[in-house]
Amino acid sequence: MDYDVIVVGSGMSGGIAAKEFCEKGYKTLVLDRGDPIEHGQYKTEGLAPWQMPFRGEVLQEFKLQQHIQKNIYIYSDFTKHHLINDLENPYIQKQPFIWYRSATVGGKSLIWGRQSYRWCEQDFKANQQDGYGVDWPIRYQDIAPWYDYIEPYVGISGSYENLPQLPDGQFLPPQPLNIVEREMKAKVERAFPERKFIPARMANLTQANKVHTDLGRVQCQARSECPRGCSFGGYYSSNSAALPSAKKTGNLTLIANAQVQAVLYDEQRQKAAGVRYVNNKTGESHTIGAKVVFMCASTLGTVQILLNSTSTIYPNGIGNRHDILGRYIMDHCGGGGASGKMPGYLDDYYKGRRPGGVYIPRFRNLEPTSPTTSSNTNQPQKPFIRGYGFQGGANRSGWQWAKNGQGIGADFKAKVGQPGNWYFSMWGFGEVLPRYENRVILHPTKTDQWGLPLLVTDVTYQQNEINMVDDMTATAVEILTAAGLEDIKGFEGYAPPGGAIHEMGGCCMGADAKTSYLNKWNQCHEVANLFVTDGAAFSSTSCVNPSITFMAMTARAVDFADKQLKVGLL
Amino acid sequence: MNRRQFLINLSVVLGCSVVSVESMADAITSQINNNASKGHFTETQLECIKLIADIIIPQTDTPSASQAETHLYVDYYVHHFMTTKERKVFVAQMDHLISDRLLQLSSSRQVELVQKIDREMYQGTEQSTFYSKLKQLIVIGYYTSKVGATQALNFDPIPGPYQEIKLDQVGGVWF
Repeated sequence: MDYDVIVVGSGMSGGIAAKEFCEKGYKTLVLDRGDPIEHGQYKTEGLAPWQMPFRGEVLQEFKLQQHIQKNIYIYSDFTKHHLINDLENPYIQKQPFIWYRSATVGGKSLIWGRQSYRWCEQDFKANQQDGYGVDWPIRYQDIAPWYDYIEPYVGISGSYENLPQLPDGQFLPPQPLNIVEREMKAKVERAFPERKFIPARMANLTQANKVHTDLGRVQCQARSECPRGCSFGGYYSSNSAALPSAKKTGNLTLIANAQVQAVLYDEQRQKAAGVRYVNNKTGESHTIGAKVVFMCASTLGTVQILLNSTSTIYPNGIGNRHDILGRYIMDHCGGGGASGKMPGYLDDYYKGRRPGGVYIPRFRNLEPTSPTTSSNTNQPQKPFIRGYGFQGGANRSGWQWAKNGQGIGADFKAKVGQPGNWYFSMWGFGEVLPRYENRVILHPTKTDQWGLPLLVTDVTYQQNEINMVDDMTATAVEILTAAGLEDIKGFEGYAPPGGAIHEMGGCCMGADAKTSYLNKWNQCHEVANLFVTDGAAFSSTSCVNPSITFMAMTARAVDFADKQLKVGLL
Repeated sequence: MNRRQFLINLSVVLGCSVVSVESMADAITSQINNNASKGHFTETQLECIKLIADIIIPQTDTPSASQAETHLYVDYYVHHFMTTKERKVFVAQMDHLISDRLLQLSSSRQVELVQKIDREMYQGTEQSTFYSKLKQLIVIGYYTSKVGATQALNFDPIPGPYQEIKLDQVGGVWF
């Protein structure tokens, strides 16, 4: 064997897998399709707008090359090199799917939104209760200790709220709500006691503990330039934390520009033998062996590789005996929300660009919290099942209105030089139902330039998602009205799947090998030394941002694999 | 905090010398500075842009648009960012304004004219894509320039932890 472990992908999940295996003493190879990037060598970090040729605007020629990536909310001349070239990395949308992909080592951990929330008991029971998707083989109590384990390392700020639908964790001090948000919180919670208005829980360091400073990470400096990369390590990324931790052990080998094309299957041993990858700069093909393979190549990336891992035994993809691989693809539906103006507070301001604002945890279709509640759990309070949460925040308007605003001369200039009114915006993220027919497959003949068959997306939203997004809009307007805002505008958002960048599913976990791909340890039912711990493993989506759960799940799976390796079962 | 101070702080975090960080930043920006001088407008056209820019953003207690070389940014943008088609339309509309003897009017008439176009642009019937694009470029060009961002706005590249303050502690809007 060349290595003990191969980890495919170095992002949110792969970084943690690498760190955990390396720290347990395993010789670990991490392969990443992206370009190499050194923490601290982020090429647009700290640059002022006047140091950019078009002050941050991206030339049309780049937008054509990134005709999908250009729609991501962080897209600018400061960040575009962290996203792939769509022309060189095509896929086929049988149904619309926005596939945002990283171009670098560290994956999307370098550019993520950093909102971090625990899943709750109800999230893990949802499939069983309403019959959609595959019942999770684990419950909250199985993952809770792993949140406890990973949160202090990552560094999650948050307030303690004691909410069953949003369990508390091992938090750093919360980010402050500002004066307008505090006023809104009081009004909203008075009008709707079940709608809690709390500080967003962020993977930005509000305080740097020893575990962080040991890696050279310091407190978040409120620059709000995270997606350019942060030499301060103010937010968690694989680049600032997990990969350096892994490297410190001396057990890490990291190869960039390594596009894994297949997991190899050893028919005699009935195990994964290793992987085949292509260097996407030179075109050279390599085969590498290991005792264990961890797939962390991003939800669709992992599924694409596994579907392409064919053998005599598994002609439809390794471990895919029952046509389950690539099914139940989900994302969060969202975009419904509202914005409005808060009158007054014109003497109040802030210093710093806060990395996150407010979170309103799910309040629709919650399980009754006490046995005396008469409502039936299965009876939705709304014309949809499951629920959603809101993200938002209050800020004063800056100078940017002037680009399209009326006025000239000294008066205009004086007005631009002062902050405007306070505005609050909020938008929802909703749980998408797992559906067997929502799937990705490989194109039978078309491949990319390195020979990997193109992925075909066939995922659509149905009435439940549409009704949920409609309710987000109406409810956001209701909340802002109760909060005393003016000029309230509701907005709808029916982004196609992929648009929330929370894609999950395709290798769902479940108890039954006929209906699921992975068992309760993220281990392939059919191939014992093959694990999937990124979003592909997820059997449902909750409505909260998933990354911290990817990390907790990965640490849990590594712990299991370690114990299995030690007793010779892998 | 100025850029040099930022780089010093950054170098402390990175554990490397200021020189290496600075050369990294300079490598990226040098190309920009080389290109910035390569304009294509005629002197009359530049004069026209400069005139309108200074009417929109005159010198007050802070520098004017032309003092921040906003007209050169507009020139650079029009000739390096716009598509050929966008540029043709933009330049034709500008030339039309010049042929209407904008530059020969008295300065008070010039202000009145721009005032009128601006008012009608945002309130009335004016549909000049030239003016709306030009105003955007002037506003962006000025407020994202070093002069505009650091003198007409409050530029703070490394604010430190988020904190609430009173407006009079900073006195104006942040960049």
